[in-house]
Amino acid sequence: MMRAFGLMMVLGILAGCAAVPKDAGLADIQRRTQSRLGQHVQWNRGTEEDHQADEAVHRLLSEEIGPAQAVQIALLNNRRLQAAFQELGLAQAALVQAGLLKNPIFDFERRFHNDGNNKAMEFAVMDDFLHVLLIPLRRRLAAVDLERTKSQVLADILELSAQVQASFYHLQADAQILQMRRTVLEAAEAAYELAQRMQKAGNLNDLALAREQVAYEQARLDLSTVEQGVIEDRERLNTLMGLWGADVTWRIESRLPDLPPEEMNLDHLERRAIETNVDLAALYQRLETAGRQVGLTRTVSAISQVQLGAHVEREPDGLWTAGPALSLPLPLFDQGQAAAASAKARFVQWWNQYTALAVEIRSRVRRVRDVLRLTRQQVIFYRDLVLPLQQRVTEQALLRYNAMQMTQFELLQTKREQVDAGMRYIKALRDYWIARAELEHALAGHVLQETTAGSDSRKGAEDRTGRANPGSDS
Amino acid sequence: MPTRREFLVSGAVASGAAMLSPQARGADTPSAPTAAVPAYANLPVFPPGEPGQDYTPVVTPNGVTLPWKVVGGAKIFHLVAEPVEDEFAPGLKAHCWGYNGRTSGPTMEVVEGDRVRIYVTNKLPEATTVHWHGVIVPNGMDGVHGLNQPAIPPGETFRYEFAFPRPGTFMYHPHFDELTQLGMGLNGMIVVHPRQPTQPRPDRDFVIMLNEWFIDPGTSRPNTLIMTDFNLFTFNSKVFPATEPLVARQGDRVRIRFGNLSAQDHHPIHIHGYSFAVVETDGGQLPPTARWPEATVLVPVGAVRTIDFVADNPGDWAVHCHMTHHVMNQMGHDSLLLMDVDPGDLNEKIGRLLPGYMTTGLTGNGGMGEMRMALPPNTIAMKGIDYQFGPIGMGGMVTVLKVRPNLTSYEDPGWYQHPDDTVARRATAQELSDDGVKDTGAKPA
Repeated sequence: MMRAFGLMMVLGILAGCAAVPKDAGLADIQRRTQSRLGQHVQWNRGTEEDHQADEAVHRLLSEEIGPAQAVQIALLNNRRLQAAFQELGLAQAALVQAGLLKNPIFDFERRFHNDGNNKAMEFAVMDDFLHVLLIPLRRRLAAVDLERTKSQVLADILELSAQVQASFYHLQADAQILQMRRTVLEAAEAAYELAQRMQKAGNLNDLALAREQVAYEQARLDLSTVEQGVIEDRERLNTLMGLWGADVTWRIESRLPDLPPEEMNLDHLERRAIETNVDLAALYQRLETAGRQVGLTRTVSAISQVQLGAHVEREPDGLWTAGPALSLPLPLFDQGQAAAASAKARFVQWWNQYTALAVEIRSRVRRVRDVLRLTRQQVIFYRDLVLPLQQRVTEQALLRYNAMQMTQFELLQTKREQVDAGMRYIKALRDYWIARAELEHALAGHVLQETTAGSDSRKGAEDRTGRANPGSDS
Repeated sequence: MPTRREFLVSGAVASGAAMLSPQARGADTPSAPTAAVPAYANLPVFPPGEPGQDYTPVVTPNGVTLPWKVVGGAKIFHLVAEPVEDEFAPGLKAHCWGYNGRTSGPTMEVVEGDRVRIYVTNKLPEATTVHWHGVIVPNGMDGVHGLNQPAIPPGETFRYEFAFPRPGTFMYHPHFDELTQLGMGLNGMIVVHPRQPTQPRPDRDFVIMLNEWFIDPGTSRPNTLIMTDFNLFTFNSKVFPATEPLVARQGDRVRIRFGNLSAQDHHPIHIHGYSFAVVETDGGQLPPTARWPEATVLVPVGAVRTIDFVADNPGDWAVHCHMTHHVMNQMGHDSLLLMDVDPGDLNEKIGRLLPGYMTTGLTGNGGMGEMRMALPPNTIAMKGIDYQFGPIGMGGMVTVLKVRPNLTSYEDPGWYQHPDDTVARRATAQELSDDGVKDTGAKPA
């Protein structure tokens, strides 16, 4: 009995000594966030660093914020992201748990004989002794799961960054369009006012006046619609940046960034996306877990109820006996086949999920790449051709007005059309930046230094299946 | 060989007989149709009429007279129909069609009884013909494509040959794709002087073709598809202020021959400072007993009116179409009517949106010529011209009859120097008071 106890103690100490990362992989996530997004993330755990993060948020909020600042604020302040960080804690705890022995079960029996004198006692300490053998396997699983959780958190970070950027560009565009709508309203108002004044002098009929009025009222409504859009954009950003109360009065840079002269590298996008996508990495790690579990399940189900222990007994005659105890399930019915089938099904399920996601990523990256190219062309087309042409149209219209070939109403309508073209330009520029953010998201950040870790692990997946699959680049 | 005098006498007699023959036929019995013959039939042979000797040459303001030569007793003319560039006035040029490099075409000037051979070369991108409007010609010379002759294809030259049996003022123009070809400026006047004038020859004999066009501001091509909304109204394809003045010495007998080949509009031409008589149409002379005094002569589409007067009233006199839209240059009709509209701060409001914007027409459009706002290129809309008392806001069918005593040349004599105290001026308070004029429109102090 004592020897058995001693063995258990040794195993337990060994298990406890295995390395568990103290920060649950936060530093790794911070490093990867820095290299991929150029941003800092902080897991608020009641430390001095929390305070620093809070100060950083307020410092950023005090000035006009651009897309990068908005992303930074969200990464520091979004509470859902903080909740996701807790998953790291949970995974870390699971890893520790996987290294612990099951607590042994102490069993005590006291038996009274009917003669009243002889007292029998029985002690037993039983444990799922063979469980010890599974500890390294369980720890490997838990470690993989921590990695998966890290990938998931990183995916959440990238997703948040992309959402913030898209919302931010929407807000910037709507804010610019709001100004343009005000110009349109001014033009419609001037036309309506002129119509009113003309009618007052007896020079304009009611139909013409009504037409100018309806154009004016519609311009007011159009302005209101954009105002509504701005409100929605701001609230979406407030949510993403985790802001409320006095913090919601932030201001943004008033103009969308100009089109960058050079386009980002669009070569081998599919391969790069597959290599770097963190969602795919997380799913792969899940797949790996499931794969290991296939082998594990039958073993576990077979030995899980095997109990070893020590048995100490005092016979009624006062004689102490001691000896080992064994409790063994008879595999008459459950031989673990159901559990094994379940684990296998789970693996195949994850494999299909993984493949499906890879197909989606490839499609998405192709789509976004093409959208990026097209929106760039559209922006250039508007900027270099349509807007100068519209300006020329307005100038020529003024000349024709001067030559009495055009009315003020037509002239102001021409101005409105010019502003309309300006709004379409802003929308094209907005769509360009959103596509760019989406592409960066698909490529897991715009700085693509760490691509090897992910691709290595998936190379294994390809090896196992022995054929090319959408999750790897052939 | 008959003497020149015999020619003249017999010509006059023959001509007179020919002229009278239609009337004689009308009065005659219809049972004798063989007696009814056209004016050119049995026309006696005259030597070609010579300028200065047989007639006083006409003046075509902004135009020329078609040159000719004599071959075998006939006057030889050559008309070339071709694309031309016309400057309607400084600031407006357009791609038109014309004859011999110009629109209107050169004035063809002959003498009653002259035989002519007219060669017509077609340098247009499409076929053409020439019709001799009002001239009594054999049917095959009348120029209606299809009806009287095949059209003249591009690059070819046709020959017309006939005599001018009666004096008068006529016109020539294509009778092929009339809408396009007349609208593009193919027209010209024909003057047939009488072989034996029954009245004194005019000292100044002007020929003016009336026409209308549409040239969209900023373009340089007459739009011949326009039906009613014309925006340029021309004397010899020029608009005021580019129309050359009609200069006469005080006491001159003045004749003005107006032809109208506008697409849609008759033109009531008003001459300031004078009363005159219509002496002739494209149908012939009016007998003196049929004339009555006029200050405005209505020249219908496709017709000629010739007026005579003695230039006895010195000064600078407006001669213009009295249709008010015809004394504007490229004026659009799409402006808003802003008369008496209170503009408020609209100028500033619209000016913020459209720098350079100006509200006009608030008190009428009289000042438009003076503002000289930026206009589309190749546009003369509302351009005024400065004269001695300020800008003249008219354009289009306007010219100036300049009558001066003791002229030594018919060059433009400049602005009229008014005798003292013969120009309208501001009334003095003393005058108003003396004449008891009370409501003077003066703003209260």
